[in-house]
Amino acid sequence: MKKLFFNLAIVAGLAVAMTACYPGGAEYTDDTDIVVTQYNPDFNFKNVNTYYVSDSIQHLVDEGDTPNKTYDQDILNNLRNNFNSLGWTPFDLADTSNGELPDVAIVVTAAEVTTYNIYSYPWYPYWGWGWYKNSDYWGYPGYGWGYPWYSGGSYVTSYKTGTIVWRLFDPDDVSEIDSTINVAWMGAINGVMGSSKSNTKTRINNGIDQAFKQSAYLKGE
Amino acid sequence: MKKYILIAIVSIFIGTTGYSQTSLYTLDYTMGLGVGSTGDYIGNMSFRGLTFEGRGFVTDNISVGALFNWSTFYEAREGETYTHEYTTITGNQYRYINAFPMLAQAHYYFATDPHKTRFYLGAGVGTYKINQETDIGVWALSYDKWHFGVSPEVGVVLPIGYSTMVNLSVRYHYAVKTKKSPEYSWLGFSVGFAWGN
Repeated sequence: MKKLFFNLAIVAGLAVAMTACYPGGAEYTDDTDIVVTQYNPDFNFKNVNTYYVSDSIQHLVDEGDTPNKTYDQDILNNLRNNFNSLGWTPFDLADTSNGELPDVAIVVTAAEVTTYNIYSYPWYPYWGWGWYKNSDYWGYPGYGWGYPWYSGGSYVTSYKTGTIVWRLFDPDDVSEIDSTINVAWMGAINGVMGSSKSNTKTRINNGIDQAFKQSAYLKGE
Repeated sequence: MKKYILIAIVSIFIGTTGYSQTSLYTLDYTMGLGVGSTGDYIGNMSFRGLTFEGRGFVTDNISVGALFNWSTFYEAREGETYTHEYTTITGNQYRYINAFPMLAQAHYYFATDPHKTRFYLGAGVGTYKINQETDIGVWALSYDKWHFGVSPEVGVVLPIGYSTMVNLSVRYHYAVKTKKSPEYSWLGFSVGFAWGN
C-alpha cells in the first residue's frame, strides 16, 4: 500500500509539472482577428448584376461612448471595389424614382459594443439612405434579419468588441408577414481594435479582401 | 547419471525462484507524433506526455496490467481557413489534443532474468478519453469523447540497479471514431524508469 501511494505521488507530481508548461494560444489582440462569412445556399448569386452599398455605416456603441468613424470610408470603398471586381455594377440611387431596385443591397455595421450578437439586432432605420418598399422611402423599420442557413445549432453568433459586419440581401426577398429581411451573404471581420491607425486600416482591408476570397460562390462558382 | 539429473533439476528450480519477478512499475516521459488524420490536424511532435504502468507477472515472461497515459498535442497555424456547412472562418488557429488512454494490457518478455536486458512485446485495449479543441478568434470548436482503442507496443527494460531499470518503448495508439468525433492515431515514444520486485 505504501508503494502504491509512492507511485501515485510521483504521477501526481509530474502531472502538476506538466500542467505548468501547458501550451498557450493567442497572445496579442490581432492573434484573434478573424474573417467570417456565411451564405444562403439557396440564393443564386449568378443572377446578381447590380448592387448598392449603403453610403454610411451603422455604429453600435456602449452607452456614453462616441462612435469611431475614422475608417468608414475605407470600409465602404473597399467593399465597393470588391463587388466591382465580381463584375457587378453599382446601382444608381436615382433609378429608385423609376421604381427600380438593385439586385442586392449591402448594409454595414460597426459594432463597438462589448458584446454583440449578430442574430439579435434588428434593422435600424438610420442608414442615411433608402426608401420604404412601395413608397419613396426604402427601409424596414422594426424588421429583423432572417438567416436561412441558421438552424439554431453551434453557429458563430457573437463577436468581440471592434467588429465590422455587412449583410447582403435581395430587397425583394423581404417577408412582410414576419417582418424579416432574408440575408443572402454576410461577412464579419475583427480589426477596429488596432493600436495604430495604419495597422488598423491594413487589418480592415485585408479582412474584407479575405472575406471575398473565401466566398467563391459570389462569382456563381 | 542420477546425480547430474538431480543437479540440473535443482539448478533450474533455484534459477527460476531466484530471479523471477512478481511486479513491474514504469513511469515514463512520453513524446508523441500524430499519424494519419491526427498528424494532418497536428503535425508537431508532442513533448508533453506522461505514462504510468503497473504490471504483474503471471509467468516468468508474461505480465498483465494497466496503463494510464496523458499526451498533449499542440499546434498554432496562422491564417487558416475552416469551413463548416455554409460558414467559413479564417484566422489563426490554436489546435489542441489532450488524450488520456486507460488500458488493460499484456506483455511478453523474450528473457526472464530481471537482472538482464529484456525486450518485450505488448498490447493494450481499453478506453481513450480524448479532447480535441480548435480555438479560432474567440471561439472554440471542440470534441470531448470517450473512444475504444487498441495499442501495440515494443520495448526494452535495461537493469541499472538491483530492482531499478530503464524502460524504453515505442507504442502505437489507435482510438476508433465515434458518431460525433473522428478517429485518432499516434506514436508514443517513452523513456523512463521501471522498478519492481
